[in-house]
Amino acid sequence: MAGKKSTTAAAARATRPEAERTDPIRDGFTLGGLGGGGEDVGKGVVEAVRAGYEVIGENLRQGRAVAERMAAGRYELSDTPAELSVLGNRLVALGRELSTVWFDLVGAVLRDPGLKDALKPLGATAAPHRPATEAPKAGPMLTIAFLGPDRARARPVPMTVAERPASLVTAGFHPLRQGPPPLTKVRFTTAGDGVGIVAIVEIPEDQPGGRYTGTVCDAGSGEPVAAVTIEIAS
Amino acid sequence: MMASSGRTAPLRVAIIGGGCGAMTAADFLTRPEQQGRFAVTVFQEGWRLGGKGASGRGASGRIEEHGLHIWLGHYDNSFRMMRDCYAELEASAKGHLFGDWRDAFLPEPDIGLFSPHETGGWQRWTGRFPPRPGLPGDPRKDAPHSLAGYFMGALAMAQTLLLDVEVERRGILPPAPRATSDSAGILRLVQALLSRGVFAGAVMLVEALAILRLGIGLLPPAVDSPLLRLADRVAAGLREWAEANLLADDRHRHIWELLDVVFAGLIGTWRAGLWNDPRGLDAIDDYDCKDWLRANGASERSLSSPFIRGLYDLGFAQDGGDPARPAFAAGSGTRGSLRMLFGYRGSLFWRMRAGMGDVVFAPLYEALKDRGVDFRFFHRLTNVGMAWGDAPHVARLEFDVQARVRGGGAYQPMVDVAGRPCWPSDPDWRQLEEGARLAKARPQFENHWDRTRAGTLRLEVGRDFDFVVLGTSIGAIPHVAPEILAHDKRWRDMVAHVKTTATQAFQIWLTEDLEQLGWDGPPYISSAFVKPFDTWCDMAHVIPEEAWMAPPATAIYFCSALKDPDVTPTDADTGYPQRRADEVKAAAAKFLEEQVPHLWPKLLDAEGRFRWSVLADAEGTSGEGAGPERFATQYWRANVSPSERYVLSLPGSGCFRISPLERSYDNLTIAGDWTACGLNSGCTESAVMSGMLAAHALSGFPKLQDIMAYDHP
Repeated sequence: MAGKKSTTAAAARATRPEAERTDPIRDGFTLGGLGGGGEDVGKGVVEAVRAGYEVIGENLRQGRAVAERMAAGRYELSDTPAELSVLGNRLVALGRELSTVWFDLVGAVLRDPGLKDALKPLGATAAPHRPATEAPKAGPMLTIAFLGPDRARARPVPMTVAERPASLVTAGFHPLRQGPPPLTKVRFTTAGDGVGIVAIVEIPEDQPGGRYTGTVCDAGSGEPVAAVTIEIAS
Repeated sequence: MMASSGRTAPLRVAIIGGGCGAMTAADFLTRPEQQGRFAVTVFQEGWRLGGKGASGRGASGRIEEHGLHIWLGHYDNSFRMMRDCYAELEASAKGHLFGDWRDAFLPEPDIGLFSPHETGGWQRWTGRFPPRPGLPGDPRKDAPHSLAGYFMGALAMAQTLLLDVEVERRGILPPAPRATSDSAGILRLVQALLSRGVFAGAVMLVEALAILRLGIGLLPPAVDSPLLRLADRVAAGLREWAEANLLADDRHRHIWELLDVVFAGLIGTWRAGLWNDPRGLDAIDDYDCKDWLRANGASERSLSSPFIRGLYDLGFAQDGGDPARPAFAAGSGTRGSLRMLFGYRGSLFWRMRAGMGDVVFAPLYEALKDRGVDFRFFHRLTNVGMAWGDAPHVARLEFDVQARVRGGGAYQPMVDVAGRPCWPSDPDWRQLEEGARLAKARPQFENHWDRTRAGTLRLEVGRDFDFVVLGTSIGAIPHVAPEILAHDKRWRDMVAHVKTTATQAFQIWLTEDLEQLGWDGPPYISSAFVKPFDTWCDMAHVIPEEAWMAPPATAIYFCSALKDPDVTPTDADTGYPQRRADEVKAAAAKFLEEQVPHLWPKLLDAEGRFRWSVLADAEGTSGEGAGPERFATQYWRANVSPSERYVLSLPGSGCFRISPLERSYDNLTIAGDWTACGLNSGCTESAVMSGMLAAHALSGFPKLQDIMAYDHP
């Protein structure tokens, strides 16, 4: 590999060897051995779900910790269980509100057809509150119908089944880009076949085009049961 | 002269320059793995090695640097080389110079940054970066250099910061109530905190980050997973949360600013498709760092935060040295930041126990000399003569011989200070022909405008050398390689686009330490302070290595970019360097008197006057003089010579760099932090990587995969 003496130059001049390459490898993902795929995908998803449930556990733990701190004062001992419950519930509710992104994330991962299979064979984990492999049960379809200008469309989506189903609610469907107002006039009705649910969304005449998303929740448990995406043509 | 040619004789390599790149090339061409195939001669102007990293010993053995040199914990190749060098010396009859390498490089986990406060004065933000496993230069088994790995690190850092905030927020809850406390009031306070989302939201976001981190690390690149698509939304949510909960709080605002920048980088990486772009971060190198972050959602507040200003200050990132023209290529800046924050091992920063010349170049000189490397000091390259035709190559090298050694022997460049070999700040005139005359005239051999010479030297290819490693800085290329520039558009483009900036530095020695002067923190490496000297460091640890009769309490080094004049000085303007040095002296004294007391208030006396008497006088010539004139006893310099200027990474310039591996000229390679060396930023590690590439270009050693982080996004 060392330099060699040129046979063509009059003075047998030494020349550099040819370089195997002249640039570094810059590929961002393949370097470093990350990005394995295969079995690791399922492992990663399970870890994600497990972490999610640990979040809830952490919220409850912190709620208890705060309550215990208060209990160290003149807090009436007899009130503690009730206040703990209030605090715990409030923490979970706040967490849910503040982390809809996170729930969307996990939900999206769970619905990813390419990743669903990876979840199945991995068995239970040490999740503190719910087994991580308890994948959402397939439920009836949620179909979206529209009132107003014929510019909107949305795909039917499967709903997860709440343990004790109650009525459905939504905080509305919000635009992905800032500016347009959300779609908030929504009501739910049973589909004609008696199995599915139809969400009837009112589209104002002047509603800007674009993509709108939001979750539909079970009013009793507050659990999200479906994520809806609506596209409105400009 | 060098070894004679012949099939069995070693190939003769002429290395031009004695900076980090050139010395690394010399090191790797003469390692045992080369089996003696190369005979290396180093041609160095002046009396010492080091280039921009050269340091000297002045009066009382005080260390006088070109600027402030700190090694970062990701300088794996640099540390590897020095660790090998120290081990080689330890195994030789010479023994060690500083003991183990860990005695010569000292870990420093703290950094201080400054920002103007709305209420006036300066607000200090301090960060302590935790030690990380391993030591710089250890073999890399985990190969962490992927964007995925870095962003996993970034998300982990965001988690840590959020958790830290949560800890602090717990701290503002009322203490355990006493018997007289109002329980209802406590409950209301807790609920108010919860309703702000601080308590639960932080935990949820921390876990969301954990999920992202897992996802990035485990998902194969080809899967367009919802996890990746939704990362953008997670980052947006994090921003909103952080803005709502941290921005109003002085103490935590900097965390928000840092998170904001990290998220902008993450989002930008996704939007630009950098994960799978074969160009890696070079794909965004045409953008300025701040512009790119701004385009990806970073707020103006974050872009003017101490983090960003510190990044620019540490990289002297000012076009023409002008503070009004900050510029840093987004690709190089991001690469450097990722490596700095997430690629370090041991400590984020490493201080040198003495001058960079003493800790780095003295051991290298001793080891290389023992291997048979021939050092020719006082040789200034004036022309690289080319032969053009089918196989363009270097045909001759022309030098000014600045001074000749009395008796014709080799110049002995080192002096003994406190039992260690060190480089002096001036040549040893006694060794030179006409030494008495030169000592009186005091020529400035490192000054571009000083053309003192005792003769010339012309080397011919085949007769005197086979290969050339051009290790001068790019600032000197127009002066030493005009023939190449005249023929080669790529070299002209490189010189035109890979710009440099002058820098300025001053050092003060104080009879009181910083704590006595009112500083309440550890000895930070600090940046983002006020111009013109935005970066400084407490160097108290080097005082024991100096040789004062009455040692001062500490020394502080300041440095920054230095604005170029509108018109580039000609070679005939011999007074230019002195004028700039005078400017630096005046600016430094003014800065010391007017700005530095913001840091160390007890520099002022009871009447608010600067206490000049606190400056230690190494020569003892100032007596008890306690006025501003006492500043003349300190040290300052303007680095304005072409080879001293700092190499910038300006937007759009990276593609014009030329790699040492390129073979346009079949007996020439290049070395220095100005080349396309992978890291592409002005620093020791870039120069060392470039020197390794130069050695590889001539010999195939070291292997490219053994140059750590050469293959890197």
